[in-house]
Amino acid sequence: MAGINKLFGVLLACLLGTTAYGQITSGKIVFERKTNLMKRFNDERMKRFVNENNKVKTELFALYFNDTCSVFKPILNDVPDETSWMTTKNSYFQNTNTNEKLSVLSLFGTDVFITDSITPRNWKITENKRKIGNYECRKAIYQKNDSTRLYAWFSVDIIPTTGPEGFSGLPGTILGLATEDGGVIYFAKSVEAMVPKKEDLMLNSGKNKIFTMNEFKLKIEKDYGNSPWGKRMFEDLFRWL
Amino acid sequence: MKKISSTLFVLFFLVCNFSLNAQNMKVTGTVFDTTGTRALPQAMVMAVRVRDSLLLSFTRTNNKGEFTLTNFKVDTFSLVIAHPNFDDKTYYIFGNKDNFFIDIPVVKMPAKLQNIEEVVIYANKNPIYFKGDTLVYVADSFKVNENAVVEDLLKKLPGLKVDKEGKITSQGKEIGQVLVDGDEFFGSDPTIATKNLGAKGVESVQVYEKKNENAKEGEEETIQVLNLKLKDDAKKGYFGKISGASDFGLENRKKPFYEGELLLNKFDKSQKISVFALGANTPRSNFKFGDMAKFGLENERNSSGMSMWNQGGQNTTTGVPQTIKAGIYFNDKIGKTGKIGFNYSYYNNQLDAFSSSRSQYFLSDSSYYTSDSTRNSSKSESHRVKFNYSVNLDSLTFLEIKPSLNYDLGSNDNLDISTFLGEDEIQSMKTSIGNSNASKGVSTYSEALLLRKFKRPKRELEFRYVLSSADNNTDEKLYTLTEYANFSALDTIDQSKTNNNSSSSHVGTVAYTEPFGLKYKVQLEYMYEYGFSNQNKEAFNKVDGAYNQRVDLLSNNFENLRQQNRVTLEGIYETRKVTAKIGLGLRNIAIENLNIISNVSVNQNITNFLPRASYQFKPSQSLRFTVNYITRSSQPSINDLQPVPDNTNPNRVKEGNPDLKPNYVHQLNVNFNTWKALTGQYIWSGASVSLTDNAFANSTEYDAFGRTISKTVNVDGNIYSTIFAGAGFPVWGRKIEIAPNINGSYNRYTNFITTQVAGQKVTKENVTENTAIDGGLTLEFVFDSLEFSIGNNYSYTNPVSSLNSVSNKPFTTQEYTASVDWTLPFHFKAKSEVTYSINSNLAAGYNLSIFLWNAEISKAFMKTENLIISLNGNDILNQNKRIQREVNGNVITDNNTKIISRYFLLKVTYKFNKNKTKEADFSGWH
Repeated sequence: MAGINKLFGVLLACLLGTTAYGQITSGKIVFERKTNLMKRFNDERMKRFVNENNKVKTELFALYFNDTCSVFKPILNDVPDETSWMTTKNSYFQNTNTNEKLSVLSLFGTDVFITDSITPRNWKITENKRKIGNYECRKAIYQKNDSTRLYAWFSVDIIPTTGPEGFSGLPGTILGLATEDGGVIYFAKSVEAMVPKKEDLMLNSGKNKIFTMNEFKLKIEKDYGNSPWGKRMFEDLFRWL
Repeated sequence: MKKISSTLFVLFFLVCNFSLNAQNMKVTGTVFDTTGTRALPQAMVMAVRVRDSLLLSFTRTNNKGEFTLTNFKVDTFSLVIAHPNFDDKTYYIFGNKDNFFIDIPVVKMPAKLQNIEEVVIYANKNPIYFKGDTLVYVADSFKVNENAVVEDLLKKLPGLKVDKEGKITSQGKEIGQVLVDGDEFFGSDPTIATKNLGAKGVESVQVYEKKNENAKEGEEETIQVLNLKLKDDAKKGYFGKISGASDFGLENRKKPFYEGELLLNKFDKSQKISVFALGANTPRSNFKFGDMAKFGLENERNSSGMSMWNQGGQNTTTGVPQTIKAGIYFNDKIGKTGKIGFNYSYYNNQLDAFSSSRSQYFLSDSSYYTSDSTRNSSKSESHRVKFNYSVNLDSLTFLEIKPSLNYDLGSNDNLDISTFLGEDEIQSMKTSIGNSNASKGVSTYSEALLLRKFKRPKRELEFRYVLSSADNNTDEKLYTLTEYANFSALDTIDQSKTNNNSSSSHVGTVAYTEPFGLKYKVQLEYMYEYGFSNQNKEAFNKVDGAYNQRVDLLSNNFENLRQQNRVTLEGIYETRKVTAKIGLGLRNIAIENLNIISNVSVNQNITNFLPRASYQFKPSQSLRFTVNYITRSSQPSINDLQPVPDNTNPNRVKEGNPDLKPNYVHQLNVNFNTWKALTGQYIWSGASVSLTDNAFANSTEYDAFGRTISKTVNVDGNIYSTIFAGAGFPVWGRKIEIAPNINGSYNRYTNFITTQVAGQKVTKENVTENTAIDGGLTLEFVFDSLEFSIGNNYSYTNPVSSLNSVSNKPFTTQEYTASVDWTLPFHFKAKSEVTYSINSNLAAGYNLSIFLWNAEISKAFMKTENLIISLNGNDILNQNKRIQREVNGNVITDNNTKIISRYFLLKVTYKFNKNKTKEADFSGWH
């Protein structure tokens, strides 16, 4: 059985290898995020919420992009979700021309709007390559700090520099993003070349207060920084920023 | 190996004549297809530093295939050019101060290769690479300090690195999993093992690579594993806490106050043993919540009935107590998924209570007063054994068995002196009632649960069986003297009584849940109950020095047998924001109440519908609105049924009623809560109303002196309702929080009063309506090392009785509180709180204002701060009293109980663990 699977894999690889896909400058990518709640919450007391059966949490996100702007946001469905509070559901708008970024963090159900310039990141490019869907991707590594390392698989065939969770700065679009321990993984499920509607490339901040990143960090640190659970929340919120 | 066909080494040593910035590189070029004729637009061009693979810069070619790459410093880098229709082209460029501008006039892209070789070794990565092999370090060959943990050992091993966060890398690769003897140690966080296990216990450290069985798409397929092989005696540890406190006889030389506490937890692989003991003659009667959580004293938490928020340990406030408790918990794993637990606890409580009360009884056209003075001394002893076993029989089937057994001994001595006064406040009668009893009982409660899940998510089948039984025997002595104002003779009762109770009940439930689509579920539940209870009461008068004259009026043997069948069908609709449930139960209960002595039986056969419905709207994690409606029915206790008078207090005789029907309750709750994370504002609010038909109420008959005989009867239309709301508003950067709250309640209930009017018994219905409102405001100030709060509360109660408007006297209480918590230098801490309460409109002598002041100062010693010495002052102004007004039907009682007031304690606490490090207190969720 395994042999047949392998053979099928090789055939598929050949087939994909010979199909040449063109380059994309605008479109919609649907990402699937898998979060291993067991890895995220390894506390004894969380065991009443997280068990072997529900430890892998799957959520969907959409990335709309054209040559300058992109919006990443969660696709909310109507299925009840008891563990919804365990994961973040943030949205981002980026404009590479003006170097603007608007992040919308969902802080316990309250939307918080933060403007910033596009986060510069130091990427390390590896020779590792893999296919995600029909796109050949290169693996890059981002060392956020001493303890956090992220892997990104980007395709140079999707030209805009964007990706999930406001990640960008690579010569192409990120189709796969993962924490090193595999605790959180974003993976492109579909890539559609299209021209997004104007409203899909906007995040409406309404009349809400717009923070700068520094203002918000200071506020959160002041409000919650002293409690152990606050520190944990802090870590979660800024994991992707 | 390099992809020879696609990689080209080109070394440029051209010197550019017109340099603008010697610091920055600039690369220009034009990209063409394989033939070199057609220019390629949108080809990706990037510069990657050779030293560390850092992406320096990237760009895209324009419509003419031209690119300019700049804005990065001079370095040695590879220039990668990629286009989807071609293979990559790579150049290695060694930039230096003489070589910072490079132009590649023609880049010909190589054709795509059909077979891609993926095996590449790169120069910038660590050349040592272990695969399939296992590295073994023998721990003893590396020297570590006396109290070093595994992490310290790993730091000494060549090729291994441990960073600040405890992350381990081996030959540059991160260790994804740390195993202890091939198994995960307390979950998957590697640092739990490396930071907690002593280095001395490690025999060897092994590093190998294994297939990542849980690998998802995008994850590495293999992970680095570090396996710690332990010496046999190393998988053990312990932590604990011991404290003692006394006032050394400061308040009462003969009876010094004391508190003592011992908590110990010992673990050995998966086996955990906790031992606890507590002794006190202060109001303190339980462990602190945090300690109960940390040492796993599950049953102490459950039995104490205290909430998570009551951090300070439970207090006894109804007299002068003495508490001793001790016990042991044992937990272990059996097999892969089996868990076994055992708990034995011993409790010994004594309570001496002195209380006085004044009651006013309102009848339709008259009222009585009684004045009581009671001395009660009670002792209880209890042995409790609990056992539990749970196992996953397979991946879908879960079984749990929880038997438990209690053995209780109790004794009670009660002396009550009552004075009966007429409306004119002239004494008509005086009684002295002496009661003593001793009881002994065994009770069991056992539960079995079998839960079966199916391949289809949310489909579930549950079997539950609960068996409970109780057997309790009480011996009682009663001696009373009654003195009437008009007669000189004394009435005497001298009796010995026995009361033997036994009961058993079996409850079996089967529930099946079937999902329909993603949003709908239907649950069908069937419940069967079989219950039996027996009560045999006998009373004997003392005749010629022996209790052998049976009192038939007070003796009886009575049985209650019930069988209940209930079917409930419930439909459930669940989405991300909305959960709605609607269900209907149909139940039939057949009851037989049999008087064995008279052979009279009362049979009831009742069929009810039990509807229920709930709705929850949760648009976000921080906003929730729920409405919940349920109906329920409960049965009277055997004491309410047994048709024989209970003359434990001959002035207040109670009698059961075998005709009592089960009650029927409708209850509606509405709740709304919200919390704004950004501002910290919160609101909680709710309302609850219940309507009870066939409620259990008293029908009370008064004699000429005001003595009573009461019987339980069914009444309709009792209402209990409350509304409550509170909020918090942080201001001034959250340093101050303003928290107001308001509560209201309205209760309406019926009882019956029978009085003698001109020699005729007249029974009247008395409807009591109690309306109460209370509200308060708290201000909290939080600074770095100082927290303090001030608050107040005002309550107004208006009881209205339909029988006699004289009893309709509203009363108020006011309370003002302040507290401060201050962390001082040199490990000193200070705490203090004051409460000032004002009672108004109570009976004369009960309108007291009480000012309570507690304070504590403590200092932590040793490097680990594990030794703490503190001085506590409780009720420093010696004012504490327990004053309560109860309004019950047509009776208003003001009660004053003597309780412990001022005492000081000098307390020493020592916390310890095996590694001799700082033993942290439980700090909630983190």
